[in-house]
Amino acid sequence: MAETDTRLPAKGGLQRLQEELEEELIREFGQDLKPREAARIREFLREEIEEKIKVSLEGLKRQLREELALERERNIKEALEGGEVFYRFGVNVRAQHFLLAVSTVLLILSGLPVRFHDSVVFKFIMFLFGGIHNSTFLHRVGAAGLMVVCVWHVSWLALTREGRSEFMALMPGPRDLKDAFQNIKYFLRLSYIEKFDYWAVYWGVVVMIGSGLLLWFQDITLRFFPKSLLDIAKEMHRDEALLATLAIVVWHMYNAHLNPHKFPGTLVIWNGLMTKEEIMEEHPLEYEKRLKAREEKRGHT
Amino acid sequence: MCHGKRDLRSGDASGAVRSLYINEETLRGSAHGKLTCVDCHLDVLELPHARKLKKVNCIACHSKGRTFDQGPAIEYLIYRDSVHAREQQKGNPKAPDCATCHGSHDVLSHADIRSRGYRLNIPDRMCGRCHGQALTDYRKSVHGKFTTGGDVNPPICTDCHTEHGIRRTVDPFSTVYASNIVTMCVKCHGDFSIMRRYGKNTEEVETYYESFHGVATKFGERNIAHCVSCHGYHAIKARSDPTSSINPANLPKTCGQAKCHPGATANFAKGKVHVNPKSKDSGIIYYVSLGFKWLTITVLLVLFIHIFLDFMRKLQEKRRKRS
Repeated sequence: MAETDTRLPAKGGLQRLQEELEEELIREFGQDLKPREAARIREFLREEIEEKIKVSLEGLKRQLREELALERERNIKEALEGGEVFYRFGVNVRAQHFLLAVSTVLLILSGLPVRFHDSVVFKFIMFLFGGIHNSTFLHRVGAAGLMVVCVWHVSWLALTREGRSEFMALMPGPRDLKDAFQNIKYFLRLSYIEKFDYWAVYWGVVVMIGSGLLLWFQDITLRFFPKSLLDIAKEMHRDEALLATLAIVVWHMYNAHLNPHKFPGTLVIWNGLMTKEEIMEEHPLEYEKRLKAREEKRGHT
Repeated sequence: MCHGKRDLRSGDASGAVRSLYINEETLRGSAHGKLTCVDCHLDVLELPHARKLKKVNCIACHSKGRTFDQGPAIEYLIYRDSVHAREQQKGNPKAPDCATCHGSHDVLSHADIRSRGYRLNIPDRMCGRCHGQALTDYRKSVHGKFTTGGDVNPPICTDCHTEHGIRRTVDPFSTVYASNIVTMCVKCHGDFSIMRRYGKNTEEVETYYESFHGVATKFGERNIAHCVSCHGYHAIKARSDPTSSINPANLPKTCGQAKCHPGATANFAKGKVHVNPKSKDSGIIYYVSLGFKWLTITVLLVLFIHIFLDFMRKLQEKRRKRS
């Protein structure tokens, strides 16, 4: 509708309906309608029809939305089948990454003010937390999240077939070393970057959770170990925290967000999908494997 | 006159006897030596004077050249908010006013070694007259031992509690309130030029600020250990002293206070308390810190180089694609 008037235009369908109704009434009464009566008929029709259309429009919208969603899904499916888009991460992996990311951000935000207590920025963050009571509590919440992810991830690795195959794929091999050297010479992008990300988390998590637990339950720790162990744990905790934070900020930010090919970011960790170009670019071996698998599948059917 | 007689006394109904003798030499030698009796005792209008005289009002003169509108001297204004003045307003007869501390007929400048207000006389002749237990504890402390020996630098009562504006420890405006006490100690213990004279350094202050106790105190937490929680207040003693709260044998008890780490074991005393990871004396911690420092530098350097190469390569590719 081009008109800004929300009411329906008087011409067209409505006009026709009105004329029909008027004719019928004239026939019934055997005489012309008074102007007031005609106006009332017009008003009645307009109101009724507007109401009806409004009601049916809601249903129509819903239907349209469902159809569009279905079509989109079909498109993705077709793209997946046609080899234009690939499923890279399943729901499980994405959920793990989500919890890991949220916990890590929470841990960094509530942990760094303790280390950089003189910095204005972290003082402000501490102010937002509302004091060290809250930030230490949230730090423990984040730690719990991180530990849940670890248990979840390890059991996923051990118990599901998807996990086992992903784990094998993430095993560093001689090819990665070769890739890395080649990369520095020629710069081909290969998956050792992601492998590094993955294994760096192991190191970080072991150090952080290990020392963090000692500090969290310091009274129990001190029942069995001398205080100097706690001091070592504290030093490791704060140093590894800085290393991990910097590595995440620098490395992960670049590879997942600031990289010219990916800027401003990729959605793969949210919806699990990767386009053909992306997968060819970053995981050529994986692409070949997938292609082969699909061809075999086609050959069978 | 009458008050020059050594046997002039007054007695009241309860039988308490008070000497009314005033040594004129003392008065003449005091800071007020040039004044006459009635300069202070303003309500003596005739002799013999009325039996009951008002207390002397020091601020009638001590307004340091202020006009009437500007009010009395700043010392008085500060005193007015102190715990001593508040107690006096409540009617506590033991609460001190000017004369209680400064003396009456024997007032001397605080620079005079005979004065009660002379730095080294303050603990014994001013505060300690009422605060006996605090004085006893203070004399046993490292600070007290130095001042007893005639060293004027270590803190006396007024250095921590201030002079006129003494407040209760639970008063947030007090210099010895939990949130302020660290600043109070750091005034000296954070100053290397002072600590050097006593063969100490400022490491304790720096490491405290880096410790979780220090950080939490800085962020306004009050139920956390500050200097006094472990070292005590009036009876601060050296670590080597077996009665010290920070002697290794007593540390479990000190750390194990009900509010802090109940059930603390001897393990609390194993290892340095004020650990400095940057000092080689800290042993393993020093090497852990050093190792992590270099690990961080190496990892980040490698990452940066990798990122830089990758970035240049990708920019090149983009440019090639465009052309």
